Amino acid sequence: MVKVSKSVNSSKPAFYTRECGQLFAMEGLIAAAIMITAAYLALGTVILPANADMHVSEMQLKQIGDDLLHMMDVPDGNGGTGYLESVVYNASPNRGPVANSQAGAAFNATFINYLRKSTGATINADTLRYSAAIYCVDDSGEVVRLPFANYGDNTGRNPSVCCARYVAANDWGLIGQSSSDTAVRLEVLLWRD
Amino acid sequence: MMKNDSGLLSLDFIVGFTVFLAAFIVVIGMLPGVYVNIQSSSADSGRDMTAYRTGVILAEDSGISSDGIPWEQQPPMRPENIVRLGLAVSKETPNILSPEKIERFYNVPAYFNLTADEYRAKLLFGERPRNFNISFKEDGKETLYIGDRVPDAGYGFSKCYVKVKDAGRLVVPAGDLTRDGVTIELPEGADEYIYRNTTSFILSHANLSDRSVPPAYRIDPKTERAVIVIGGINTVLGVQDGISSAVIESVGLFADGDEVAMPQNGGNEPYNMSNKPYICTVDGMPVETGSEIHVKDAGVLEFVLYPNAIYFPNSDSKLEIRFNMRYTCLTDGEYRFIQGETDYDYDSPYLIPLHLTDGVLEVCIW
Amino acid sequence: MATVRSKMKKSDDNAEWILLMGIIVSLAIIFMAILLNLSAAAVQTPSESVMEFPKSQIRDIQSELTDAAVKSDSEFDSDSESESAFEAKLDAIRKLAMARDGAVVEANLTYGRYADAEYVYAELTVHYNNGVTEYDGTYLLPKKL
Repeated sequence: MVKVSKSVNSSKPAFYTRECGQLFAMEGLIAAAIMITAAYLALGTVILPANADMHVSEMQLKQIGDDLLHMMDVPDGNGGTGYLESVVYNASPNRGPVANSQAGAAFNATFINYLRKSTGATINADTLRYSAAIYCVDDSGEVVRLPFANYGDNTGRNPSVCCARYVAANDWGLIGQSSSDTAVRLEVLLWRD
Repeated sequence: MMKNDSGLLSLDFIVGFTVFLAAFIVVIGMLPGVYVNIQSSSADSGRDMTAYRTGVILAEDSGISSDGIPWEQQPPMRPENIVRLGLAVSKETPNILSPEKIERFYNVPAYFNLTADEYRAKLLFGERPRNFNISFKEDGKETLYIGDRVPDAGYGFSKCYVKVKDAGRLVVPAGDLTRDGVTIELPEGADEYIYRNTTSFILSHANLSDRSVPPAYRIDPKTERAVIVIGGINTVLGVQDGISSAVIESVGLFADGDEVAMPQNGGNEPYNMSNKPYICTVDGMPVETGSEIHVKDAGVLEFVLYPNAIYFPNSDSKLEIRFNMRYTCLTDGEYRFIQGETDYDYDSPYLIPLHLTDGVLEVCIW
Repeated sequence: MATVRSKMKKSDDNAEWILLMGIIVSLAIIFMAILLNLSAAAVQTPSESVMEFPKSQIRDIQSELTDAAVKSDSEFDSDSESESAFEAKLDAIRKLAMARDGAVVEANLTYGRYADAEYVYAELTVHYNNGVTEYDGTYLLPKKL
C-alpha cells in the first residue's frame, strides 16, 4: 500500500509543487511595474525641480541700468543732444586730461544722483555701485577701452551686470590719432554692495 | 507548501521582493518633488515678475481703449472702455510719459475714481489678486501713489526711470501784441467810452501734428493741453491812465470759423478733461471759468486749454481761441490796446521748446 | 533517485525567463521615467529670459542710427556726404557690437525712398543678430517737404 502511494506521489509532475514561488516573483514584478507606471503618470507633469529664481536681482539691476543710460541719452529738445553726448564729447582723449577728468566727475555726480532717486514709497538703501568705461574704435580698427568713472570697488564677490549704450561722439579722437565724428560705447557695470 | 520553518525562502520570492522594494524606494524618492512644486507657485519670483511686467506696461505702453479714443479722454462714467492702462506718450517713445495720462492714472484731480479691482483688471493681469503700490515722483513735484502702504519686507519691486513731457507753451510779451494809435473820442455828454476788440491765438492741427518732429517733442492739441502766457500786460495797459479798466469779457473757441460750444462740466457728452474746458490764472491767482478776467494791472496771464476732440474735426482744422476784450476809456486820445492774431506753431518765435523732466516710477507687488 | 532529482531541477528553471523579462521591463520603465524627469528639469526662469532678450540694445541701435540719419540729412546737401557720415557711425557701431556683444549689426539707409503729399521718407533697415535673437526692422523717417 505504501509503495502504491509513493509511486502515485512520485508520478505527479514535479514542477507543480516546487514552483509555487514563481507566483511571488511574478506578483512582486507586476506590482513593481504597476507602481512605477502609476506613480510616473500621476506625478509626471508636476515633477519639475523648482528653481529658486536666482536671477531676479540681476534682472532688476539690468533694468535700472538700461533705463538710466537711456534717460541720460534722450535729447532734451527736438534736435538737441542728450547729456551723455556732451559728457562723451569732453571725455575724448584729444580734449586733454583736464577736460577728461572733469567729464568723469560730472558724469559721476549725475549718475549717483540718478541712482539715489526714489519715490519714497519704500526704504531706498544706497547700495548700488558702478564702474563705467568707454569703448571706442581707433584708426586701425581695434577696439580700445578707456576707463571713465566709478563709484565703489567690486572685489569680485558681488555679481554685476553690464549695461551699455552707444553714444554719438563728435570730433572724437585718441591721442596721436585723427579725430572724426563717430560712435562710442559707454559700458557701465552695476552691482549691489 | 512552506511547511519548513528553517527561515529559508525560495529564490524566486527573494528576487521578486527585492525588485518590488527597489521600485517602491524610487517612487518614495519622487515624493518630495511634489511638495516643493506646490510651494514654488507662491514664491517671490511671481511677485517680482508681476512688478517688472507692470512697470514695463506703464512706462513703455500708451494704453488701449475699446473705441480708439485715447484712454485718458474717455468719459468718467465709462471706465469700462479702458482695456489697458499705460502712461507712455506713444509706442515709439518708451519711458517718456504724458502728463495727462499721469493725472488720469493717479486721479489728481479726481476723474475716473477707479477701484483697486479695476486697476488689477486693467493693469496687473494676474490669476491671483495681489496688493500693489505704484508710486511716481517727478523732479520738483510731490510723490503720487495709488495702492496700499508697502510692507517692510516680502514684496516684489521694479523701478523705472522715465522722463515726463512738458506741455507746449506759447509765451508772448504783451508788447508784441499791441495795436497802436487807436483814436478814441468820447461821445457828447458821456464820461466814458467802451471799446471792444479781440485777440486771437490760432492752433493749426496740420502744422502741429508734423510727423517729422519726434512724438516726444510734438504738440498734439487733440490729446495735450495748450498753454498761452501773455506777460507784461501791466506795462502796456497799466501805464495808460486813460484806461480805467480792461477785461476779457469772454473766451470763444472757433473751429474752422464756426463757434464751438464750451464743453460743460461732467456728464457723458461731450468728452471732457478735468471738469473745466480751460483754466485761466492771473499772476498765479485762478479766475473762475466763465467770469470776466481783469487784466489791466496783470503781470502774467496764463491760459491753459484742455484738449478735446471736438476742437479739431478734420486733420487740417484750425482752432481759434478768441479773447473778447473790453476797454473802458475815460478821455480822448490815442491808445495802445492789446489786439492781434498769433499763430501757435513750431515756427513761432514765442513757442518755448518742449523739454523733458526726469522722474522715477516704482511698482511694489505683494 | 539521482535521475529524479535532476529532472526536478531542470523543470524548475522555467521561471527564469519570466523573472528575467520582468526585471528587464521594470528597469526599462524606471530608466525611462528618470530620463524624462531629468529632461523636463531644463527650464529657464522668467528673469533669465528677460535678461536674454536684448531689448535695450536693439532700441539703442535703432535710435542712434535714426538720429545719425536725420542729422546727416539736414547738415549736408549732397547725398554722398551725408551717407558717408552715416557710414562712419555705422562702422563704429558694427565693430563695437561685434567686439563687446558678439552681435552682428547691419543697417541700410536710403534717402528719398518714398514721398507723399506732405512728407518725403528715408528708409532705414536695421539687422541685429547676437546668436540667440535675430531682429530685422524697417523704419520710415519722415521729413516735411
